[in-house]
Order: sequence, then C-alpha cells, then structure tokens
Amino acid sequence: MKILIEVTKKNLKLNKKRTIVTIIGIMLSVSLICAVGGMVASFRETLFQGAIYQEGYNHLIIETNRKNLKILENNRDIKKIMNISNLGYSTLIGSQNEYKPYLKLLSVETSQDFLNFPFHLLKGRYPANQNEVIISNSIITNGRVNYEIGDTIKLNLGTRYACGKKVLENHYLPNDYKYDQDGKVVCEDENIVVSDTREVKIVGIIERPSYTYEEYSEAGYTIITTNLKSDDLKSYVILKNPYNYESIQRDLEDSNKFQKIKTNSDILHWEIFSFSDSTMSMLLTVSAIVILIIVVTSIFCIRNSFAISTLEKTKMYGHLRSIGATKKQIKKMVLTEGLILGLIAIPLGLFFGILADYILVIILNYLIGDFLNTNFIFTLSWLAILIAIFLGIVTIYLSSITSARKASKISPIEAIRNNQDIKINNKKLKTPKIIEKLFNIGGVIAYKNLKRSKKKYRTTVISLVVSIFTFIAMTTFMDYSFDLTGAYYQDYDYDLIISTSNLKDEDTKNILYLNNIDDYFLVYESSNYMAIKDLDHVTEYGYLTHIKESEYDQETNTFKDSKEINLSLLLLDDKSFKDYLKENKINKDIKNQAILVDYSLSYEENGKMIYKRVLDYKDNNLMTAYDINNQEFKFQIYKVLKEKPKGYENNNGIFLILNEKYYQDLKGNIKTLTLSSKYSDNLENEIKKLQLDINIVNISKRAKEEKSMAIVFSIFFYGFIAVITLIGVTNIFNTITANMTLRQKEFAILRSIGVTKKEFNRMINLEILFYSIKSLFYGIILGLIGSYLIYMGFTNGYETSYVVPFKAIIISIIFVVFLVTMIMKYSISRINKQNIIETIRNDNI
Amino acid sequence: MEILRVENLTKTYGKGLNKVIALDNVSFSVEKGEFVAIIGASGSGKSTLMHLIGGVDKPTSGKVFIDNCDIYNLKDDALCIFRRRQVGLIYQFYNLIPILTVKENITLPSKLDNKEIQSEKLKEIINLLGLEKRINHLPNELSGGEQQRTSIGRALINEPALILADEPTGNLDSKASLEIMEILKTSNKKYKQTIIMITHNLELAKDADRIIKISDGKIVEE
Repeated sequence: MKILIEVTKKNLKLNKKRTIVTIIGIMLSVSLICAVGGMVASFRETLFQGAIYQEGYNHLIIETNRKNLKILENNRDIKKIMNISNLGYSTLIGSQNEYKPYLKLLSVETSQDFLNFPFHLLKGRYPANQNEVIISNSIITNGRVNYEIGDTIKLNLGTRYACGKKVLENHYLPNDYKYDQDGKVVCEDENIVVSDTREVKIVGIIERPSYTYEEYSEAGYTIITTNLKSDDLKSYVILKNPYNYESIQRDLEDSNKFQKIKTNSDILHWEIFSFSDSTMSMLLTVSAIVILIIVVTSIFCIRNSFAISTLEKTKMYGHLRSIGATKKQIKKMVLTEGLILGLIAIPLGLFFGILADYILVIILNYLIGDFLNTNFIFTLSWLAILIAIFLGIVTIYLSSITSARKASKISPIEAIRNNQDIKINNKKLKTPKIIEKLFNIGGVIAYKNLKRSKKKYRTTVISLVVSIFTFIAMTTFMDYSFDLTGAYYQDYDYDLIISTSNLKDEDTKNILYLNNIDDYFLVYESSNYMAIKDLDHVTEYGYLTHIKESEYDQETNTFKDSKEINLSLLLLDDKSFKDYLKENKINKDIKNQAILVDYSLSYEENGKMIYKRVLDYKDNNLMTAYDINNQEFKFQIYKVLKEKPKGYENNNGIFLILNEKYYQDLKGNIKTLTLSSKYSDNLENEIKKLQLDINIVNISKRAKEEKSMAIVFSIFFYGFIAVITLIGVTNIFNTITANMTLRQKEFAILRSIGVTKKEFNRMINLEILFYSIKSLFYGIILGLIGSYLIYMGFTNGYETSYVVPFKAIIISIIFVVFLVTMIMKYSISRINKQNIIETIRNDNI
Repeated sequence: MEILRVENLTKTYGKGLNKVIALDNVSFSVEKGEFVAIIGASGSGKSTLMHLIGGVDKPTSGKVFIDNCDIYNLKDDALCIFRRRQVGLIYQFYNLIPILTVKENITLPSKLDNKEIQSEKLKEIINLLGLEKRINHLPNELSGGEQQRTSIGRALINEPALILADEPTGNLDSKASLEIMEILKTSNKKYKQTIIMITHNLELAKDADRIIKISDGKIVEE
C-alpha cells in the first residue's frame, strides 16, 4: 500500500499546477469562512467591550429595597449582585446649571465592585470608605464648580419635596407638580428635607456616568462613595445563564416585589445576540446568504477539482487495476490525495483567514479608529475556525469519496482502451441548425463540446453565475447603503455650520472676527409664520402634495384639506444676500425685492426625478402672504430660483429669500451660520473656546468620516466579492484547463486533418462565447432579482426609485469575457506548443 | 504522372550521444494511381516517413513534393489547408472526433473548406464503405472496423492527391482487416486514388502495386 501513497504523492507533484490551484481553492474557502467569522467576532467583541465600558457588565437592573434583596440573594439563576444605594440629594453650592442644582450621593455598597461598574477615573482613585467620594467630571465642566481632589464637601442629604409631595423622578420639578389641571401655578419651587449630614473627601474624578447611572434629566450631579447602605437601592445583577434572561425577568416581575426591572440591553445585544425580531431576522438573512454563497462556491470548487483530478487519472487507475490493485486500494489513493490536500490547504487557509482579519482590524483602526470611541479589538473566533475546518474536511471528504467510488469502479480495460469519461449519444448532442449556419462546422464542434461535457460546463457556468450574481447584488447593496447614509456631507461647499437660536448678534460678530475664516454665509429665519392663502396660485402638484388632506382634524379624527400653504422666510445678511444673487448669476442690486425658491424634487412613475412647482408665481409677480394674525404682507418677486441658500440644502419647503437689511422687523431668533475655512478643525476649536452654548457641525470632518466609512465598507464588500470570485476562478481554471487537456488528442486530430491555427482558435473562441453568454444570462438575471430584492428591502420608508445596476452588469460582462478568454488562451497556448504526432501517438499502445 | 517525390529526407531526434537517426537520406517517388506499401519492422522509421509525407512533422533535412508542391516551403496555416485538400490520413486508432456523427466526421474536411457537400458523392462513398445504416451514429457506438471505414471516408471526401494509411488494420481482426483492404483497393482501382500504406503485415502488402522495405531509416529493398 505504501507504494500507492507514493504514487499519489508523485501525482500531486507532477500535476503541480492543478494541485496548487486546488490547494488555493480550498485555502480560499477555508480562509473566507474563517475571516468572515473572525470579523463578525471582532465586531461583536468590540461592541461588547464598548458596551461593558459604557454600561458595565451586568444583565438586569432591579430597583428594590433591603427586604426584597433577600429574594434576589436566594435566586439560583443569579450569579452575582452588585448594589448601589441612593443616599439622597444635597444642594450643590455654586452650580451654574439651573437644571442641575444638586449633588446626588450614591454608594457602591461593596468597594470591590467599583471595577465592575462603568465609572472611569480621570484622576485619583476609588473611595475606600464612607468618608471618601468620587465625583463626576461634569460638576466641573458643566456645573462650573471647581472641586479638586482633596477637597471636602459638606452634604446635607435628604429627599426632594415639592408641594408636600416627594419628587420621585429625576426631573427637576416636573410640570405636573408646578401646575394644576387648569394650568395655574401651584408650586414655584421644591425643597430638600434633610435627614442626614456628613462630610466627605474627594479622592477621585470620573467621567460623567452613562445615562443608566445618571439620567439625562437627572437633577443632581453624581458623587459616589462606598460602604453606605440605604433602603432605596438598585441591584445590578449578573446572571448565570444570560440566555434565560427573559424568563428570569418575567419570574421576578411576577413576584410583584420589584418596582422596576430593566435589562442591560447593550450587553445582552452583544453577549447573547438578543435583538428585536426584525433586526434578528435581518441579521440571520444576511448571514444565511453570505454563508450560503461561501459554502456553495467552496463545495463546487473543491468537488470539481477532485472530479477533474480523478478523471485525468482514469487511465492510471486502470493501469493500476490491471496490475492487481484492489478497488479498496484505489479508493484509498483518492482519499489520501484528499487528505494530503486538506492537510496543506486547511491550515494555510486558517492562517491566511486570521491574518486577513488581523490586517483588517489594523486598517479599521487606522481609518475609523479616530471617531469610534473604542479601538477595534482583534479576536479569534473559535467557532468560525471550527466551522471552517469542519466544512473544509467535510467537503474534501465528500468530494473525494464520490471521486474515489468512481475511480474504483473503473475497469482496467475500459480505462486503457477508452478515455471517454461519459457515455455520449447523439441525441444529447443535437445542435440547432442555426449554429452551423452562423458559425460553420467550427461552431458545431464548439457547441457539441459544451454539450458533451455538460457537467463540467455546468460547474463552470455556475461558478461564473455565482460571481456575477454576488457582484451585481452586492454592488446594489453598496449603492443603496451609501445613498442613504453617505454622500450626505460631501457636496457642501462650506466646512462648519452653526444653526441655533442661542447665538446672540455680538457672539456672531465675535465668531466672524476669528482668523481662519475664508468666507461666511448668514441666514436669519423669520419668526413670523407666513402662509399663502390665495389657493389660485397653487399648482396641481402643489394642491396634491400640500393642500389635499394634509391637515389633521382632532374632532373628527380625520385629515382634511388645508386652506393655506406655509412659506418660510429666510433673511440673508447683506453680504450673504449679494453672494447668493451672484451665485445665481443675478448682477443687480435688488434691495427689497424677494427671491422665491419653489422647486421640489418629485419622483415620476418611470423612476426619474424632476423638479415641480408648488406655486405658480413667476418672475416679477407680486405675492401676498398672511401672518398668524392675518396681517397682509406683500412681496415683489424678482426671480424664482431652484437653489436654496447655504445651510438649507436639505430642507424642504417653499422659501422666500429677503435681504435682512430691509426687513429688520421680520427677523427671528434662529440663525444659521455657515463658515468656510482651510483649517476647519482649528476654527472649530477656536469657536469652542468662545464658550457659547451652540452646536457646531464640522462638515469637512463628517465628510472625512463618511469617506472612511465608505472605504471600510468597500474593503469588506469588494474583498468578499474578490475572494468569492477568486474561488470561482480557481474552479473555472481547473475546469477549463482540464477540459483542454482531456481534448488534446481531439485537437491534434483536428490539426492533422487540416484545421488551421486560425480556425482552431476561432472554434475555441466560440466556446468562450457560448460559455460567457450562458453564464452572463443567468448571472445577470439572478443578479437583477437579487438587486431588486435588496432595493425593496432598502426602500421601506425611503422614496428612492430602482436603478438598474448597468455599471455592474457591464463590468461583469467585461470581466467574464476577459476571464474565460485568459484561461482558454492559456490552455490553447499550451496545446499549440504540443507536437501533433506526439499527442496522437501518445495514446497508442 | 508523378504525384509524390521524396528527396533526401532525413529526420533525427535528440542531440549528441542521444542522437537517433529515424530516417536517413530517403528518396523515392510515387506515380499517380499507384498503391504503394511501405513495410518494415517496429522502429524502422516507417511511421516517421509517413508523418513527414503527411506534413504533420518537420524533417531535419530534405524535401517532400506533393503534386509538385514543396510542402515544407509552405507556411503553417497554408500547409494545414494543403493537407486537408491534398492528403488523406488514416490512422491505426481511427482518430475520429468523438462528438461528431459518422456523417459529420466524414464531411468534416470539406466543411472546413466551407465546400458544399455533393450528396451524390457522399452517398457513393458511404455505399463504398458500407456505412449506410450507421451515418447518424457516434464513433463510440461503432465497431473497430466501422470506425476505420469512417476514417477512410474522411480521407476520401476531398479527393486528395494522396492517401496515407498508417497500419490501417493494425487494430482489427482478420475479417475487418480484409474489408478495409478491399475498400482501399477499390478506391485505388475505381477512383485512381494514390495510396501509400504502412504495414508490417507482408500478406497485406502483397496486394500493393509496389513494396518499399525500410530498415534502420533506409530503403533497403524496392
């Protein structure tokens, strides 16, 4: 038997190219599964660690008291309970934030538990006893009280009361305390009923705790001590088996002992993949498709290369049988071949899969690490590795066992006399007359050849179809996901935008004095509500979109037709107004005339987008509008334009644009200031230094982030497609070259009876043509179906029309023709090198 | 009329010590309508000679004229076309195209020339070969004799100047061998078809007009 294994090894070495290609095929399949799994695991781990950082590791958050705590302590499903007691509020002397006038003292009852909570020290250390506290950084940054480590705070702790009622919620004096049912003020203020007084020392400063620990509307800044216990506490619970969290939660709720049980949903998301049904089903569908594509291509590829290698060795197996090798031995040879290939390819595949993940993580951190809060974590997914190994082994085994059976069935004489693997009959090879008419006898031979090796032909076609399908469908997926998320910030020609009602005129001036500003554009929104009431000026389109059943009638609970169309007044400062006119090629100083912007994009049934008007005012018309008090305003329209002013690009509606200089009395509070700067990041920092209560959107930074996100997505998707295609290519390479080698003799015969090189190449080219047409036909149809389904999935709630992915289709056509041509040319060049006689005589015994 | 002239044909394989002289300065000529048998033992160089005459191999030196055309002066593609029009090849192992039917195999050389198939002519050949009932069968559905007859048909279809048959009966039983010989003889008599047949079977060679014996790459007897 040893000798047979030697023969197998030698064979693998002799057919070096095929062996290498097969190994590459197996390797790619294994590494793709491994890499995809690993990437998913890394994502999950990253998000999981992020969730732990943000929310702490626990599953349920239970509001309870001392008595009911016993119930939790006796619960067998609970692994660990960490308690935080609420010790009440104390007035924060000097708080600059009128919504947060208090300190709220919490106590992590066991000091060791600090590490299990998401309280992240910026300075100092955690408290060791009840006389020490850590304080939230936002006391300093937001409340502007300059506490430092080592300071002592005197706390007058107690419960908040207003109008004789306890303030239970976090809200700073809720409205239903303040007003009675008729809206009369009954209670101006709340007070704290002090029950405890103590002095604590600050030993550490932490980041502002997450909203789980200090709610958005919390009236007090958090300070935390330890060892103290009160009857008002929250238990943060770690479960033995988080997968059962729902039933455990239900059981606890049914006991009626606990007021409120919350789940730590971020942790549960990433630890046990608990998502809402729709998210889950989406995730499952996506992973099912991805896995299916990988598995199908891999199986095809591996299975195919084994079938080919057996086919090529039919003769050898026949010879071996004729000199006395048993069926069993032949079978073992084929299986050994599989074993050797697997032993080389699977570890290599795992290695490259993991390496690819590692490199991807590095690239991810480089590209998007800046704006992700945490770094991307590289993790090995043992499950993915196991699946990859298992799938590799199973496919190799199944592929080789069928080939082995086939090989063992070869009778010696059959193998020696005839190397035709498939019994063919004339019916199967029927060729339409049109083929001969169109392509002559060369076409007939080409066509029949494809029909003869139907199975091999099919594997090639399917490999191509899978690649084409994946490419087209994925491209659509990419296009739509970018359409919805991306390309949002890229088109703007300014870098910073501030849109707020908090910006006073002098602040605006201060901002505009700053260096680094290349240009600015300032828009005031009018606070007057303006409406067009003369419905004669409404177009048909306007009537359908703005008037018809657009107003909700509370009495009848239905929609009724509106009687007016809302008009937004935008007042541009003198400089911006002139810029705006210049941009729209109006060189006249139009002073107190108005520009009307009234073009809405509308989707037609044929999927095209066109501009439609809502009002029918034309250039130089006089427009009448009414404010909320029904006061009449008249505006002289100078021109109707499409272009909205800077900062309002994505706003819908009808805008009337005026020069602020001439309409001072219409000016409102809301300002939108856009700034252009070469050094937008510096400018942003400078503005922040002015310490205004405004939100600055850094467009160029966002655009950069978007671009990085787009790159990341592209790396993932195109990487995936590339590997899938590569697997397909190894498959196609194997099939076509094998087919060529098997037909060597036929080619030689054709040459010997006088087929010229040119005619011969033409014949092969026709084969390429038939191959490509068929695979493109199915690939494109399936791709279009896939892409349409993706479109349907994406357009739930979004009004985008389906665009046939022509670019992807054209690319796949070029790609397929190129690929098949290259491989065939390679085979032909090898065949053409061969001597006719050698080949013909080769098989003569 | 002289249809084939072989001038000082030499073919060697390998170099230096490994050099093998397969054909050593062979010259002879064949008249139109002749039936020539070339005999010789295994390894005597007779197959090499035939491949050189057929234009599928290249000589080390010397020339081959078919119908006064120096075939090795032709470019590759031109030689190919010349071969399919002027030379019919018959091999020991038939070498039919497995995916084409008997009829398609026979008409293949003419179809390659985009010539209209004269059905009269085709019918005549098929009758001669006795393949009337087999024309729509594929090679693997035929017996060895039938396959060889098909390959004779393929050689005859273009009315070549010369038919080269390399051990045409080498793989057949004696009955089928006789049939093949009958067909070759008939085509020689009836169509004045020039035939050069290579064989090591002296019995078969006796049917020929002329016998050329080759040994160690040289003509030893004529």
